[in-house]
Amino acid sequence: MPDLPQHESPGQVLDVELHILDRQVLDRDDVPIGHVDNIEVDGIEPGRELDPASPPVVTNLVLNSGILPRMFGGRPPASRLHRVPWSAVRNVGTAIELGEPGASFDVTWSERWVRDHVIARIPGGRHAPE
Amino acid sequence: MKKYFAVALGILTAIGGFVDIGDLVTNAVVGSRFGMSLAWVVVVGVVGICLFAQMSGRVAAISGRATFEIIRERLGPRAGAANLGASVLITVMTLTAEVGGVALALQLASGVQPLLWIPLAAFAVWLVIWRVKFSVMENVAGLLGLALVVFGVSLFLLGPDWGDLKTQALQQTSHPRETPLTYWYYAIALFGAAMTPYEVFFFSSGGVEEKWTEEDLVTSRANVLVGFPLGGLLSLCIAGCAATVLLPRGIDVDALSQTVFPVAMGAGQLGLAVVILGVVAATFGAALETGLSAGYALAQFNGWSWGKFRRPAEAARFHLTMIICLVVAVLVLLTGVDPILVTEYSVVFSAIALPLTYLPILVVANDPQYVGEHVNGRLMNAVSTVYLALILVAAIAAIPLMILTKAGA
Repeated sequence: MPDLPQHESPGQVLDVELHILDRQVLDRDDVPIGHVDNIEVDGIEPGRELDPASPPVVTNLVLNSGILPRMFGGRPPASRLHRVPWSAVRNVGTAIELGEPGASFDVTWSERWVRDHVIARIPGGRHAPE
Repeated sequence: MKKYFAVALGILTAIGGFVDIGDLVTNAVVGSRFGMSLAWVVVVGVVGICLFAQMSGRVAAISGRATFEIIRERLGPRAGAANLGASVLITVMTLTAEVGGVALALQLASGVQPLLWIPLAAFAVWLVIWRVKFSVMENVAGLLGLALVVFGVSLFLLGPDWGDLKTQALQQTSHPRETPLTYWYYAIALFGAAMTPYEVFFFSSGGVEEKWTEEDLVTSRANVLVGFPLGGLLSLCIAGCAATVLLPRGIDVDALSQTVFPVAMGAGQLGLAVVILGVVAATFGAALETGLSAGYALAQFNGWSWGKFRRPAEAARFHLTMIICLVVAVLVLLTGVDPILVTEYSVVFSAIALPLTYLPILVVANDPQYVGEHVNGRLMNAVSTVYLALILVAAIAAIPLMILTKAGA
């Protein structure tokens, strides 16, 4: 990708704004589980110069819960954020692919709730269309 | 052989699926008031929808990403959410018009009040979305919708003065009874009827549903480039019928019965039966498409699991969204609002919302990360940019014209 700054470290160079934020996240079985609303970065303290020897690290993706602060500013309570650890990410392409099933992340609770309380109770809800 | 069959089937369903309540009503209204003088708009609109569908189909086939995933990704949360709000509103409005259209057509067939048909029609739409496989749904609705070809047959049987229709089409001036403002208002309505945003959500999501790959690009291109223009021709036949029968008699179209009246005159009882079948199939098919499109848009924007290729329990929020949209459509219709009026507004609002979805697709169709080597060529980009300008002008002019003409009155 010619329009990105050159970087010496090996591996894929990703622009957070361009390649991570607002990307679709797929679980191990290619099932969509959410969009990246925000990211959490470790290693930045206000008022302290960044140390080139230990650069900041992306720790978590925040899915489907950090969008209002991004639009209007402010900080939501940390307990309300649905996090996916960066270590779960397997690949970043036109979607971000995870190596674990969606059910192991908080962000899918509303999907599971609607499934268990509404959709699966309607006749035919668990059958494939014919 | 199987491949040719797939192409032929795709083209036929594209023709049958092109015409919906918006095209039926708007073309008849325009034909009855302006003759064929707005025929050029249908041509412009068909070229536009071909461009738009072709680009979004290509993006879906190669990247596997449907329209609203891209809108969210490219426009970010703020502009994306505004876009989602507008698109879902218009799609639900169109869904309301289509369900109303099914009820009106069934009323023509049975004489039973549309208010009784509305809940039944909506339930049938839900049942198909819930249980029927995507490909079966699309093919059956599209093929039955082909019954609307009877508009073309009727036009021939009516034996209009072809030279006169041609002069009208080439004149491009408003009818003496109309003002230039209403002429341009209906030009935008007709443009919106041909280039409805839901068609693109549906087309690109359909590509993902049917698991298109690079190899399917040729088929999808043929469907679009042959099917849609033939669908446009069908639209022109609807306008032609109205221009031949309704215009000289000074009959205004404010009900579905006037839209199909020329067919009854030209092709008699049998023609009427066929056209009613066609209208039911076309509006029912479009109700399926708009219902699904509302679900696609909301699910893709939020990153939910979606698609008819999954069991409903595996795309729970997607199915719940569609149930809610159908309930909203039924409630709106049960207030007794005239579905024809909803249709007339929905096509104009479609034109207003069009730039919101067109621009992100145009950008991504040029992004090698999404489409690899299949980025837009120079010619494609030149034409698409002209259309971007056209779409913007139509969107900006729509509201002032709506106010000035009192919505085309």
